[in-house]
Amino acid sequence: MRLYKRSASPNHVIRRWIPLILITAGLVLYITSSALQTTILSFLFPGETQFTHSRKTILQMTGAHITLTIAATVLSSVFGIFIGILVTRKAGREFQQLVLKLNAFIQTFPPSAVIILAFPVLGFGWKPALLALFLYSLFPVLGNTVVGFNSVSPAAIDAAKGMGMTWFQQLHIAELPQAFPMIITGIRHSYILNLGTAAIAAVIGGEGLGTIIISGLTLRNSALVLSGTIVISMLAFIGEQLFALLSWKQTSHGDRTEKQANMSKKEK
Amino acid sequence: MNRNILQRRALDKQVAFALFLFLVSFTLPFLQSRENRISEEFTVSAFSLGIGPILLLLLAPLVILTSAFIPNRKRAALLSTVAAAFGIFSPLLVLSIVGNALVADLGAFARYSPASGMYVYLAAVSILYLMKQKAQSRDKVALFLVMLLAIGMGFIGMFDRLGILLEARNLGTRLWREILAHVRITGVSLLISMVIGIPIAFLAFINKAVRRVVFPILNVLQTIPGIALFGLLIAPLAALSMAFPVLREWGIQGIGNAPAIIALSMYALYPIIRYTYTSLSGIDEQVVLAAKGMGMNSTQIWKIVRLPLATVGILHGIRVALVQTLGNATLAKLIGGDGLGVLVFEGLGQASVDMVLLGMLLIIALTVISDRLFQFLINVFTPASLIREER
Repeated sequence: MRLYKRSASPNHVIRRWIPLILITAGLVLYITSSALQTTILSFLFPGETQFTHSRKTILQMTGAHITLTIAATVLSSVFGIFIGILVTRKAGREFQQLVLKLNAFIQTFPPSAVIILAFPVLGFGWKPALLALFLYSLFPVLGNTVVGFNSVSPAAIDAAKGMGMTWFQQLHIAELPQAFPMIITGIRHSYILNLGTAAIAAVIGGEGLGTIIISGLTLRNSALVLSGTIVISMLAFIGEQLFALLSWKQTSHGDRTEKQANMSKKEK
Repeated sequence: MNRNILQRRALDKQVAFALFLFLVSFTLPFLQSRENRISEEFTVSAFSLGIGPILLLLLAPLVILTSAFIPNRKRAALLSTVAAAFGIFSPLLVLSIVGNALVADLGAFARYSPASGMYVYLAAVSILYLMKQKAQSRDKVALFLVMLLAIGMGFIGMFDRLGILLEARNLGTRLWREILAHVRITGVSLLISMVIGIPIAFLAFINKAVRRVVFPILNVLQTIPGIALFGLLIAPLAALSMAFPVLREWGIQGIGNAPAIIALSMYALYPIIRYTYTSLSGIDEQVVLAAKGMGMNSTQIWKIVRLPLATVGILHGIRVALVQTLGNATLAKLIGGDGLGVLVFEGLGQASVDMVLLGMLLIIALTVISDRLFQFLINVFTPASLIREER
């Protein structure tokens, strides 16, 4: 319900964009200049001597990390929304129970287990890491898509049918706008999950920021760990802000918002 | 009548999906053998198993296919129970027979383990179980009997050369020590986060200022990947133990179990505080007003109304924290802690698939068992009034 209360005043726009731009600028500065990394880390950890990874730069690792995360998130979004739409249609409704039960079961698996189990089944490298991330982050999107489409008010579907909409029109004009906030929440959850889990992927050969974190752990060097963590936290913040903007833009879309607000009032 | 037909059609689609998975499993390598624990594996596909094992494996899909064509629903359900039980038993039997034959001429260190085909086969079987609306007692009894049979097969030595069991035997008492260490680390960190988290949640419920401070901090803590939180504590704790040597006598230093426990309890704070706070603030204001109207003072309202109603939510929070901590405790090994993570990362270091699998399976078993136990506990603690409401 909170989503509908926001209005498009310039104050809001500034408050949303300024931290996003500042953090993005900070991230770009940090990952491109090793002098900056050394300055910050030597200030925080005066006892340490090594502040950068011996073989790779932060820039390379960040690139690999972002690629892995975004690839897994895009894959799981596409498949999750597709399967989610499929099991909420009349033809696939029988599989909905199966999907929801599977979802509840997979949630009890720890992320590290999913990544590490990819090793006995699929071996070392970035491909097993990507597959494991995809399979694990599929379920937040899938579950939220199913819940989102199930919460569409039957009256709206009836109205759409009464207006003579085709199957596809009914889906993307009547149902999708109402399910959209829920789906976006699922994709956001999947992105944050992937960002953290991609760090663990370093143990099976995924070349992300986990590389510097794990070498920091083995060398007992907190500076290296912090260096990787800063970047991951900033990436998480930027992602959160972008998703917030996305769902805010969607819901502030004039009459659509009004319609939804009226509908939710009636439900109460 | 109409509804009956609909349900039969529903069953058919899921049966078709399960049969498709069975078909896929037959095209993949079914099991693999190695000359020793780290050598290259030989895979054996299901087609080259010989006529006996193939017939055994085909039993489950054939029975389930027959059940789909039987109009009598009771008989169909009975057949699907039989099919599901065979679906678990026959791959185990095939695994032991073919596996033992495979390793017989490969030397004393040879071992066999299931391959991707068998995992897909078992996934197809689990769909047979999942597609039922509610697990019937008949299914549970059948599953229990199959388990007993498998354990019996293990006792007479049919699984002696199975990879993960060989690893478990090689580890000997160390295995028990690591399991106990894993449970201990999880338990201690959960206890710490409960002792700290639940009072904080109560304070946050009473005081708005506390709420404003606590939740932003928790949100930031949650975005730090678990693996990093361990490492970030190395330097501060090392500095602390340098400054106060007393701490080192208690085991608090940069590496070892202490930083792992601290990191895990910090991570478990989020679900505990969240769930406790939500269950306290979610209590219907009408109920509290009614209690006031009955003349209860604030102590009585807490004792008689708020606490009993919030207990279930708090227990749910502890359950979530427990499951999460059991998983994350794997990473404790990375900073020199004990637990099942030791097996996993040693296995990864030696590229020994069976050792990784053993560690991971034990962690998952611990997670599932403790989750079930907690679910049972929650059911016991749920007030009768809430149960009626759910229905």
